[in-house]
Amino acid sequence: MSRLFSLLSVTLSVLLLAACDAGPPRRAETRSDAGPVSAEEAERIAAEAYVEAVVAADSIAHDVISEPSRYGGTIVVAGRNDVLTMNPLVATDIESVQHQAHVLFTTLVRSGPDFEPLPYLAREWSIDPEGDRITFHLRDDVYWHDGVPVTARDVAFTWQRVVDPAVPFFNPAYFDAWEAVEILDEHTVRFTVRPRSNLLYGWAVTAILPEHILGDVPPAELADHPFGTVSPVGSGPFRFVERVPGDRWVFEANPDFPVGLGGRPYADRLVYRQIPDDAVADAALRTGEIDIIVDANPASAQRLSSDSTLVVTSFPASEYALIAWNTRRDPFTDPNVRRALTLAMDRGSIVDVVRGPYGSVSAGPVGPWHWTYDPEWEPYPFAPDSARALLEQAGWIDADEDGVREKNGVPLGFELYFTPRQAWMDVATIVQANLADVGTDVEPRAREQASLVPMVTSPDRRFDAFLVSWARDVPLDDRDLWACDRVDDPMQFTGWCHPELDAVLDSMQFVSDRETLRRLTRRYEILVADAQPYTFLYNVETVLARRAGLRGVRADARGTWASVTEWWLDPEARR
Amino acid sequence: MGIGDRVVARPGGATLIRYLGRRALQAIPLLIGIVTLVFLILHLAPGDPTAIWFNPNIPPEVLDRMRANMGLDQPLYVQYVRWVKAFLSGDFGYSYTQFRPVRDVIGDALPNTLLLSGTSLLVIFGVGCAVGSLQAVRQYGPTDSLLTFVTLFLYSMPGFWLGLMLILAASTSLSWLGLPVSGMTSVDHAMLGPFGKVADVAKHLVLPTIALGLASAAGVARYMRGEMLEVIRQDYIRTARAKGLPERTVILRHALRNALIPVVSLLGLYLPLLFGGALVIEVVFSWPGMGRLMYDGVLARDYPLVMAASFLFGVLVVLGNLIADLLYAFVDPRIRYE
Amino acid sequence: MSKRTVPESHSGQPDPLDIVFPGISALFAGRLSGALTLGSWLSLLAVAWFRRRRILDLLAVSQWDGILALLSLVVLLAAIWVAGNRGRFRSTGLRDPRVGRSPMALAGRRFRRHHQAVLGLALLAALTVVTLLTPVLAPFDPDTLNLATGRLLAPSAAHWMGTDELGRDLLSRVLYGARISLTIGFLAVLIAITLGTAIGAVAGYAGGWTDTILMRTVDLFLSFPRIVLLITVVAVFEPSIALIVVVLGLTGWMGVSRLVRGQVLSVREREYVQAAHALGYGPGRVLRRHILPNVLTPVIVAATLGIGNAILAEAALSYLGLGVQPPTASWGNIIQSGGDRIIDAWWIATFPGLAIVLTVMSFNLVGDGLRDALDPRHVE
Repeated sequence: MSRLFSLLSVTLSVLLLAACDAGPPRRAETRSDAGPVSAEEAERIAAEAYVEAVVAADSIAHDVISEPSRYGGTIVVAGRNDVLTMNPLVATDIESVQHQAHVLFTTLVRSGPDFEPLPYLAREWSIDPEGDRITFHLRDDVYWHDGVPVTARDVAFTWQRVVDPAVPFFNPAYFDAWEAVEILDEHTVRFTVRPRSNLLYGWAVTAILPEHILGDVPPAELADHPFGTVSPVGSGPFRFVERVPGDRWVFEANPDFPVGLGGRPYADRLVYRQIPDDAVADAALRTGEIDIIVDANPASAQRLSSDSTLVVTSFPASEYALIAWNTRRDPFTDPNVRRALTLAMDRGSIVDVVRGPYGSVSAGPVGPWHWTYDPEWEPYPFAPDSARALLEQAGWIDADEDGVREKNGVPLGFELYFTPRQAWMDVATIVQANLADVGTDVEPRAREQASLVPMVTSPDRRFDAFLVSWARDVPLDDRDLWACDRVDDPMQFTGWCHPELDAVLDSMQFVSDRETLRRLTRRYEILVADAQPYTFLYNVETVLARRAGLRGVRADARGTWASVTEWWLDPEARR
Repeated sequence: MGIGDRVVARPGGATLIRYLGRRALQAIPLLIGIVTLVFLILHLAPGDPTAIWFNPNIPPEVLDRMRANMGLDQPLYVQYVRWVKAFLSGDFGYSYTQFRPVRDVIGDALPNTLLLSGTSLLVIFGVGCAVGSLQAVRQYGPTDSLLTFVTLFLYSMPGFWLGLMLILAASTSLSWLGLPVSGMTSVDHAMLGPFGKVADVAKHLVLPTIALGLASAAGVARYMRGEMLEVIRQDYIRTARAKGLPERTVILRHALRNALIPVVSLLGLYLPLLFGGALVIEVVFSWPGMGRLMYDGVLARDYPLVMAASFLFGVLVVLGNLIADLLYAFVDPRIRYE
Repeated sequence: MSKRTVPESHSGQPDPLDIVFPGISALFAGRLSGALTLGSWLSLLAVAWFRRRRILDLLAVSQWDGILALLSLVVLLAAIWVAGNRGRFRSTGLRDPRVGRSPMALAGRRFRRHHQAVLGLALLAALTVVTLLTPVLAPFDPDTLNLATGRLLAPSAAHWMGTDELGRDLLSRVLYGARISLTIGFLAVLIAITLGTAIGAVAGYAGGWTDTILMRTVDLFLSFPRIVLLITVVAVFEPSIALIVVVLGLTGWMGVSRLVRGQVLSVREREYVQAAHALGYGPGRVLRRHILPNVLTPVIVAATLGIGNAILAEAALSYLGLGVQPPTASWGNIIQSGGDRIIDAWWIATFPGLAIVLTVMSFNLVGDGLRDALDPRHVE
């Protein structure tokens, strides 16, 4: 039964992959100096052919290598960031959250390709006709790795901790529509809820915790409890074996993982290694010390893809980069200036330099990973002439011919802050050159994160503009960024707000009809694009570089690890 | 009497204990000073440990809660006193960035740094003294000239750059050597037998040690050469030669021993440099040591970790100087305790 | 064999010609090293003459680093002069190193010593000329981006050192980086020497509690984890060239202070100092006029070697991201941006490192040469 299921899921994923490669265009038509159309077309065709070849190779392997021989081997995964803790109540970094949700623990539900909730720990659920109570029926064949069965008590306990204000769970907003819990029996739990869009999303990313281990731990001591870093006990497809801090986590396949959820994973062991250095990770991949790099550097990825023993794939991530303007300060008080600056930036070249083919110019807060994404919605073009005209219109004129515009004696210039990442230095340098062309003087300033954050989050906003990137979530809950009644909140960097946007963002959180959500999201994009409180630079595609012998890797915006149970190694690729 | 002053001492029983006791007592105000200064400087820096969790997904209330849990909403002197009290009872606190006891975090990193620094020290002084003596013995010959150039070249090289060049070589033209370019252990380290594990770490140790040690070895070689030349000129060497002793005995037994004495004093100078210089090498090679720990810790404002690591650093420097002084006293029979 | 006279004649007085133009008499005597010294002098003058208009332009609109390049040129010329005339500065040696050595070895030693120092000087001269004339020599503007076609090009005829990830010519950036590194090196050492000499002299001269306290402070600084200080200082104040200079200066004075203290201690008991005391001169005057001139010798040597160390320290700081910030080019931060791509684009990290090695090597050569020239007791 499990073999059939696996075969089906594998075939499904192959088909999905094949369907996916004709996704949104990777580059926006924003470059005014793009080469002849045929060259770009040729590149795109080549890229698609590559993806097809990868899919074909994988499917051949799937056909040739029978199901039973896929079991075995140790898969070694490398990433730039360490997994810090296995305790979802204190974790704030993406690697930890992903490992918790997909590797070590089970979540109540899982996300489907369109982020619709699918059964996982919860076998099924039903919503009362009034819509205010939801009852989950849990599977009865899931056990903690110490043998204790997973019950409704664990689910209730997890929820109670998550919403407890004394617990530093990183996003309690996931559960702000969940009001009360009732344990009906060992495997049935009922929640009282309010209407909410993406109601179940929080459960798809939050691991269920063992009440029998953590039940007595006071919230203030959770961060330091050894459960997170020394002896985690999960219920998921992999069991914890050991951890060497700063180096690796080792997991082994859980043989008791329910057949109904896929059975035990193919790999015998899963090792996650932190390798912060790109060159070192690349070298390790070539020599076979590691099997896959989950956040490969785009620059080295292009070199890696020329190696025939390696496969490089990518998927649109929920991360995007932007420049935030402090609209409380001149010259950014004038939206025309902000628009002009965006028009003056050659964001296509920025993407090329920083991400290579693994990124696209961003048109707004919604990226290609989100189901509401509209490929027809175009970003501002690269139009330095229009930028100059706009600046002139706004009163910024270069009277003394020194290359920098002035208005009322004040030169047009600002300091651009960013954290000392190589990518940011490159972006800042390009922006500096682009804006110098239209008469704006930009001074790049690198500041380490701990210094930069207080500057931008304190109410006096001691900055002109800063560069940052972050990853968003399916609910697209950006109210913290724009809410008009909270302009002094830390995350309201720009100081810009719009009453209609507030209404739109609020509605977005409570509408469940997809068409309406789509229209609301579009409205959000239009309002922000018009005012340009941010200049959205680019959307990020996560790059996966793996050995050809590692198969079954199907990754998308749900997370690299969502398919980890299906990863398997060619028998001859095993160590 | 302090670091670097000539220790006029004779190794021996009660005097030694008294001497050690005195040095230990002198070290205490030093360590207190270091730790307090670090505390002040760290809190002077803008930002706090929550800055690394900068993400619109995380609401400000959560960050406030984290700050309260860390005790950061208290006045500075309260935090200091709390930390000192905990420290004196052996509790170094929990690392904000690793969610583990600081004692464990440092306990994992310290041996790695000691391993790297210790091995480098061996290389520095072993290779340095050997090359320096060789140069002195073959003065003005072609060996000497060549080695002079080489040592000068190496001495002028930034260690981290040498590290990068080694990584480049080991990854491309010298890849057949199979030397790993990062970390301290390879993937399957846990599955190796005891000999395998040692060999694994040894393989990983090669490149970082060369990068860390070669420049300083060149410096020691230059110094050793001068000292050896000075010694060779002495009367007793002439006497030994006149007595008809084989050249090898003359050099090894008489000249070398006396030339080593001032070189040993360099040891005390190199120890703090090694711990500091190890930082950059640890960053280049991703070596899981204290240098990188402190660097990442300061950037993330992980106060408990940095405080404990700084204290430890001070202890290591004091210990290092003490060992150097004792060695000096041991090696030079002319020295007496004061 | 042609007549090989040493610049000092047997009477111990230097050849008059050499006072003005060191090396000139050696040239007439046919020595290679003299030729090199003279050659570096002449080439400096020649270049300066042929580009005089450009140089004046540069100085007119230049920023302070151009002026500092000029200052370094002056210092270099002074160093050449001192080295060439070192006979005048050598006090009577305690020991005649010539006793007991064969004439060949003697000649070989002097030749080699002189040769090395002159090589160092020649390198430094070349470096200073290059630094001064960077805007003239650099083939491209170091800040011009070339994103379309010029990124990550390997070294070629068009770009001798290749280009970096934004298409900027690496050779030009390395040349401009020389200015930054040298400026930082000089100024940092200036601060370190001044501070270290002051503290060391006071400690050595005063003795007692002052000495103990000051030396304890030195110990404290030495035992302090500098990375904490560096990161915090850079975070609190904005990273800039001035800040790096101050930071390097304030963390580099300890060695000098110990050196000076030791020297002062040994000089303090000499007769002429006792005499000065007997005459009733105040401590300040005694320090200034009697003690310090005699301890300056090792300080000068330490300073020269210290510049090399300061350049290495700046490179390390910039590599860690705490030093000179991009897009200003400094050797350290070019290596940093090249470190990630070391396998793809090896040239970005390699060439600035070679530049550092050459520069520091020349400072070390000159420092060694000065030590030989100025310290009679140092046996080579």
